[in-house]
Amino acid sequence: MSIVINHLTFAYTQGGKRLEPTLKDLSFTIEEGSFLGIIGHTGSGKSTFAKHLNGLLSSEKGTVLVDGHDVAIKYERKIVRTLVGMVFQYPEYQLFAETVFDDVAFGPRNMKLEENEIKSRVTDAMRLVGLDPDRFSSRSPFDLSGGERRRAAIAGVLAMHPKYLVLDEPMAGLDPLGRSEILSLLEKLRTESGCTIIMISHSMDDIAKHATKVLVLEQGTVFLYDTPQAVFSHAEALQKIGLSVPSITHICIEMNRRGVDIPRTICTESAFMDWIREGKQHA
Amino acid sequence: MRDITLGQFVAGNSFIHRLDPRTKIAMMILYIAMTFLVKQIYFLTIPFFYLVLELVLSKISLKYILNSLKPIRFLLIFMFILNLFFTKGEHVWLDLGFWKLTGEAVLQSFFLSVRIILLVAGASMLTLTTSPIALTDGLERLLAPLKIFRFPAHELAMMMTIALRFVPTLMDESEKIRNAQMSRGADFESGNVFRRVKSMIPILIPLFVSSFRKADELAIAMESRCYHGGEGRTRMKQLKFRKDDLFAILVTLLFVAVLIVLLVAV
Amino acid sequence: MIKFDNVTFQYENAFSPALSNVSLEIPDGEFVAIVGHNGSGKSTLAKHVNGLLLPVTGTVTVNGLDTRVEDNLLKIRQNVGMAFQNPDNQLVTTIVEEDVAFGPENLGVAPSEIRARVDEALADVGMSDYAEFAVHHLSGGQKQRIAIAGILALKPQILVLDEASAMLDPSGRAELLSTVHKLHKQGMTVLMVTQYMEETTGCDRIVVMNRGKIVLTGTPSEVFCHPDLLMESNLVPPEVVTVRDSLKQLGFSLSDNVLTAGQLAEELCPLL
Repeated sequence: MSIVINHLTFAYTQGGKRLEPTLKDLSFTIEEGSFLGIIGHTGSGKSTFAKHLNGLLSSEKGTVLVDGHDVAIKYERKIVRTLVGMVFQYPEYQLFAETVFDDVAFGPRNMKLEENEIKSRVTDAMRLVGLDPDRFSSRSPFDLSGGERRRAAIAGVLAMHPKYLVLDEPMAGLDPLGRSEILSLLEKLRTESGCTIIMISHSMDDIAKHATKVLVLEQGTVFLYDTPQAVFSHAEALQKIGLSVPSITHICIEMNRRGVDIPRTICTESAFMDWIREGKQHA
Repeated sequence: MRDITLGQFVAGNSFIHRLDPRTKIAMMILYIAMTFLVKQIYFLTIPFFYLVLELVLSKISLKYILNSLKPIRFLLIFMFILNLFFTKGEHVWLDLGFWKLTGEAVLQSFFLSVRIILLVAGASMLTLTTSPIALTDGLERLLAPLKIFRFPAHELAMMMTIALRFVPTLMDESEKIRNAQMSRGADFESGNVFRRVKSMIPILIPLFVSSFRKADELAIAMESRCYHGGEGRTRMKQLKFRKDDLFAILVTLLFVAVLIVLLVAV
Repeated sequence: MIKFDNVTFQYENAFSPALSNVSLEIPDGEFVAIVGHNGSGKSTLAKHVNGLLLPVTGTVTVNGLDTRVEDNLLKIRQNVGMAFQNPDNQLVTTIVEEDVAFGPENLGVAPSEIRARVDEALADVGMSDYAEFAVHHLSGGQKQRIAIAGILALKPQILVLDEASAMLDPSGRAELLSTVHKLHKQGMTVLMVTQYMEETTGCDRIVVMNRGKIVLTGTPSEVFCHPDLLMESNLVPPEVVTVRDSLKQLGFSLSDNVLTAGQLAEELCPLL
């Protein structure tokens, strides 16, 4: 199963007038089990696209099918929303319940699950994000630290057991420790429960390290859609549309400029060090 | 949701747009006084002409005025019918036994409806031609003399300024929270009124929390920028009372005078 | 000059002090970055500079003025401009130029002088074309530049940025950083609190904080020589520095001054 996007075009309306389309004729497939990184500068349509994945927005032009369910059809949308979990920017700002437990349980309760099932899902999700259920369940979400609040909000989405998890800059505003906690959580989700991760991020280093596929959006169209190695080898083209490249790619460009023939497909530290080691052995 | 703007100001550079906001507030007060002085429908023609004059000079399309009347259309119909029923009169036009339609009732219904239409249209002339910021400024300065009676003119204006600044921000925010809760399966569209109000809690609480945080951070930022109340404060933009303002006030007073003469004479 | 002398501060209801025995001197014209993880005390330190927070023990002085003296505060705040994290929550009015005017208006500056200051400040941050825009139509980076312009209109000598780049996208961060560097070149003293180590490579000095204490201070190349101490403080050096250190372990002799991709390539390529 997969998410199939077919000729998706979308335009916002303002005061009854249709604006210039934000998304223009997007067609591609997000394979199950992949880690898709979405990059593009502000206004390229990333967040608008993400909202189509669970039918918060839908368009009359083109389709988005999640495991065959059309997000534009109202009764299908309910199913889609249990399949696709959404973590928006600064998700901690959506916390509202009196206790962490009740907040995490909000999604499962909306799914009308049995109370026992809800309880086990909530405690599992809390453990997964590193919030000990015994210590945190009965605390108010507003008493937690910033990083804990972010993880509580993510637990609220995970408790719905999504097959696809969409995250819009999940690490924004966190310190290095908080960032690596979230990233390892995502890796764990993908490898252990086979959850497909779709992450919008500005951090090219994180994308290069973790993504299996990268989608580059530019003015609402697919600029590139390929493996990170292939995408970041087009460094000049990315810089031309105002995007940065991973630090390692930067180093490679600088080395190319000085006559060293290091391939541009190298974009992570481990690949870079492998190349250096290989060169040393030959010499 | 995004299209809602407070006071629905229409930018322009007409004679009316260029007037000092204080002048426009004074004009509106005089205009309201005119409509209330009148007790007979035919004298409403004086404030009506005044309104038409203002509309022509402001170069604002009639469409905007009509739009401003839309929200009160049911109130108007309701009032009209109510007055038809309850106004007593001599000239019976129609007698159904339990109720008589009288000429006086029809006249009174028309009179009250026209008066409300004129009032609302006049008030929207002010907000259509004056930016909310200029309006706040004008109010602050008009109310400034009341400071000797400890009336918080500056504080009131500052509150309005901040409210205007944060309305669009909070609208965006509520939209984001709504999207997030809908993604968690929240349903805001079905069920009875009671259920629907209850379903708003997951939006309202985060919105309140966020407003408090905003207020807190804004207070710190204002303090850092040397804000210490209205005392000793100057303003970059000075309001200037020009010849046009004098002219506009004089014309308005002329209308009032004519009306009073007519009222006394008849 | 900013001087922290043995400053200790504890929030109400907190178990441990947010700052303990911090001493720090920042001479005029220096560009200092303060780094640390969330809760390390770096923002608390920044809020002491203009008297938003007052030390429990010890003193903070700005140009010799003690922040604990109430009568000094207005003078200090005029001299120490402060920008905060959330671009939305520090702009007061709807229109750009009126917001920039807010500070000098509070000081009772004459209207014509305010006009001149606003125009100059907007030009300094490169936002002159947006003077009459509504602030909610601007991007995050543009909003932060307006916030800086609002500070510049107060004619301060010291600029404090309290994680002002944290909520911005990379291009917004770059806009802000280049504006700050430009102001520093014109003589502004800058105190920049940040989590992004990449932003600190161009500073004169880095101060690393952990648990309310200063654990390390020095030039960027000095500080990045201590990856262990950084790790202990939950910080990670810029990727380039990590790569540099891995290369050193392989036996490449690279100098500590290597902080950017260009510098790394410059020293590495001849060795290959």
